[in-house]
Amino acid sequence: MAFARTREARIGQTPIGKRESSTVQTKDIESSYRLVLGAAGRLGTLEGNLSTMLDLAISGERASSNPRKMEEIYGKLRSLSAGFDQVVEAIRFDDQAIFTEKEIQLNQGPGTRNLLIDPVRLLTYGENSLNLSESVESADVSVRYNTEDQILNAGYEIIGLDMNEASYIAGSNPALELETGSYKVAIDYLGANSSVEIRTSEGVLIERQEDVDLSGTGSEWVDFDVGVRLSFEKESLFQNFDKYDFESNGAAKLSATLEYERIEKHVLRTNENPSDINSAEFIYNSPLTIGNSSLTISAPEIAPVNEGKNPLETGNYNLEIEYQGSSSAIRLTDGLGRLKAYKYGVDLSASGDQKIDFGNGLSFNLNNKDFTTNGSKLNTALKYTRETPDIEDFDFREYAARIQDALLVVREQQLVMDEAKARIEEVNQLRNSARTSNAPSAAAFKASSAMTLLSGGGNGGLFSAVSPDARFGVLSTQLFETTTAFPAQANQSPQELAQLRTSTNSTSILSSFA
Amino acid sequence: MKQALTAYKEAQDSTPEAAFERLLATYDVAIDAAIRKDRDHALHAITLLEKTIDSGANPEIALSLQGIYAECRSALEDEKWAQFAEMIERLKGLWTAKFRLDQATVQK
Repeated sequence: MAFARTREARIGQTPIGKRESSTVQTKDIESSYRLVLGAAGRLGTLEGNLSTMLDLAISGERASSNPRKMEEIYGKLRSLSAGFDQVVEAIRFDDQAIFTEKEIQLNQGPGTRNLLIDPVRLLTYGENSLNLSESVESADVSVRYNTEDQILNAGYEIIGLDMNEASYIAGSNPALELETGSYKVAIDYLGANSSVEIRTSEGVLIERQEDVDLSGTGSEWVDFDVGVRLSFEKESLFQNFDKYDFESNGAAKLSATLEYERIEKHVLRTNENPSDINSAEFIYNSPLTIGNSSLTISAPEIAPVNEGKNPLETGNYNLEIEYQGSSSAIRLTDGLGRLKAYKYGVDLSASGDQKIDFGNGLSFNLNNKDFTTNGSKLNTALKYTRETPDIEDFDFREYAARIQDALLVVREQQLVMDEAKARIEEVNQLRNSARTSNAPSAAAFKASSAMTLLSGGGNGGLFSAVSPDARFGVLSTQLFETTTAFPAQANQSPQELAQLRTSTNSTSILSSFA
Repeated sequence: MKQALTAYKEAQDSTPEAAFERLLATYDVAIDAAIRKDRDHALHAITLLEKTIDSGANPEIALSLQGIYAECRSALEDEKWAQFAEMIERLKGLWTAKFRLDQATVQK
């Protein structure tokens, strides 16, 4: 889960019912100060993180002739960008993330209007983000045998069958997707006619796959419409029966526990195109027919890649099946005729369906209907698309440019927080000086440029605009929004006014008011 | 008798209406000084206005007024009499409007 975050909704579904408040509101000037102080500190962390990423991206650009080095740098960048999002999501006030496009209203105490800040979305993924990563909907699926399963399975003493892996099938029907949680896998072992079910933990059937061949030796996988693939490793050890004597004892009922978690994978991309989705299809597919007999291929699939095998890359291929009875040959070549996969000595002599698996991520079904003509060849074209490894589309130079843009955004936000902090300090200083003296110091009245960066236009800040018109606009709003306007200015004593009216000598007058 | 008269007068002087009248009178002095191009007198009025700001009552308004008075001083230094007078007139107008509005609200 290092590069993933959990998601609540089905794939493609908009989450509902858990909307966070669109505004972050502080309750007093102290909490406002804590918020901006904390946010400013965390922004420093983010800036450091981005600077490191920038250095790495530049190193990656220089290492273009060294794929291993590039891959290493890509991994580090991915880790840092995921960490960056974790920091952004951890910058919270009252349990609300504050750099996710929420308006912040900073309370400045009685008699003073709230300061408004419009922080930008600093996450690396999603709309209006720093655009440094992509969030790909996926699922984390695993299978295990808990104590209950082990006790149940031990009753059958089945040997040579192991469900070793569960995985998520990209591009499945989103409407059927499982919720995050625990499920039971129930297997009725009947050799080549076994069935596999996914049930809820309470035992309610979700989906059942029948005629699963769990006999013999090799790998077998079962795909469910809910978007889960279960992989089995099979080994035939006994001569008298295969794994379990179901013919004498009836079906062996095996159990396992499936854990499904909806997640969003975190990947770095500089390519604007969405990730490829796995697919395999025969471009033209006509059976090899001689008289009433035929050889037909169908159902090409993206299959698991066996250990030690290179996965088949995205592209167009030619598939040739040379029928030689029990010693037939199957070849997969690319557009230039280079052999990409092969199987020799395949027994195609028996009538019926047979699954051919190259072990390189491609499998298909072959049907023999009374076909016996040795030397005949069936040719077809295959279009194969597999999810591109992230690094293949990655442009370090472009990524470095994106990081530089992100650095500017973060620094801008730092400036906003610093100015807001200065502004709060100023208001607090004014309030404190008012408590001790009626004459505020010059420092207390130091004009600030804070509000130029704070939102709200003319209403947002006192000194946001330098023109007198703007100042009067702000003052006008302030006057008519409060009940404490007059005490702020209408304090001239009759004596002071009389002195002003009668004065003729400015020097003496000014000294009298000093 | 004299004490009673003084107490009455002090009570009269401390009403919001009286305070408001004195504020307007202070602005009038400043405007008059601008018309006469009497820089010292205008400065005196501004100094009094700045001195009588109570930032404890409303820090934001206090900051805004201080900014405007700084502009007024700057206009005086540059001898921009019309600009100075206009700014004071506008302030006077704003306070007058505010006072009338408050009075109307109270009467309702």
